[in-house]
Amino acid sequence: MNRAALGLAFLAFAGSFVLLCRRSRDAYGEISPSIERCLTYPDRYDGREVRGYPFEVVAAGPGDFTVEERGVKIRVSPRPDDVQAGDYVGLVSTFRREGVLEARTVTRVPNYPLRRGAMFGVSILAMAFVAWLFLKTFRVSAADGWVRSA
Amino acid sequence: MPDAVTHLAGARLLGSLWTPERRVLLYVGAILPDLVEKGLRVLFSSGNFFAMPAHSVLGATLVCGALCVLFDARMRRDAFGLLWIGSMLHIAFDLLKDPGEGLGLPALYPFATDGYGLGLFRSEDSLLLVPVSLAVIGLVEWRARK
Repeated sequence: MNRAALGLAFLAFAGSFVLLCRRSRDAYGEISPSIERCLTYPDRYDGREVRGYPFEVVAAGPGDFTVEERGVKIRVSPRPDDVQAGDYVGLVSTFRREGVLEARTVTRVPNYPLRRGAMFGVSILAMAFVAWLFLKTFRVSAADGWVRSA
Repeated sequence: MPDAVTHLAGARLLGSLWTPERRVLLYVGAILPDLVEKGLRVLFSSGNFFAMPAHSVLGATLVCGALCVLFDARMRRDAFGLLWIGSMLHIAFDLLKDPGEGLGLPALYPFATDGYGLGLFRSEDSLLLVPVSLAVIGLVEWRARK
């Protein structure tokens, strides 16, 4: 196969993947709308289910609490007794056009940042090891692309 | 996602079927869906939904197709096969976890928008599997060198 055909093949695969990603963003954006989208179009998303795992609880009042998703905050009610500011929660809720979420299921996720951070740390080490193995086994040739080193 | 060590332990178990240099491609495939998803999220500051097809069968197949083009013609077919098997192994492992209040793994997207998950553990709890995964890798390596 010549280089032009290879280039076309690469573009076809990569382009199809990007189109799939764009379609996914639109499809899942409707299936599980973000808080930002709900607050932007409150009438359109009134009564829709909003799910999140996890949301950060940025404030907690007597009967409700506020969660943040990508810098956008929204009030959630009712507040379970064990949910405090600084917690992370999994949430299944219903959006109301008044700009609040009615919580149906709230699950505390203890020590989420610590556990998630540790998992990423371990994973990055493992990925670095695979990258090292790959670069030891293969090298780039200007004419042929990735070829075996030996 | 389970951590990368757990994915690699699965790939190492299956990898006994191939030579060490081919096994490297299986390892790359086993971490590829997470690499692509996290990469897209960082590069384009995109939300979860844009990068989700990296964990679908069709999306992972397209990524493997694009990557195998970068390999030497003599090993392109092997590269595709091993990257693909590694990616499918990754998706299979991810299907074991508990989606919690999230959507689950969109393994069949775009043919189905449902998310799947068997609910055996939460993503961040997979860290508890690391010692087991390391033991599996150690045992397989020890047997291979005997």
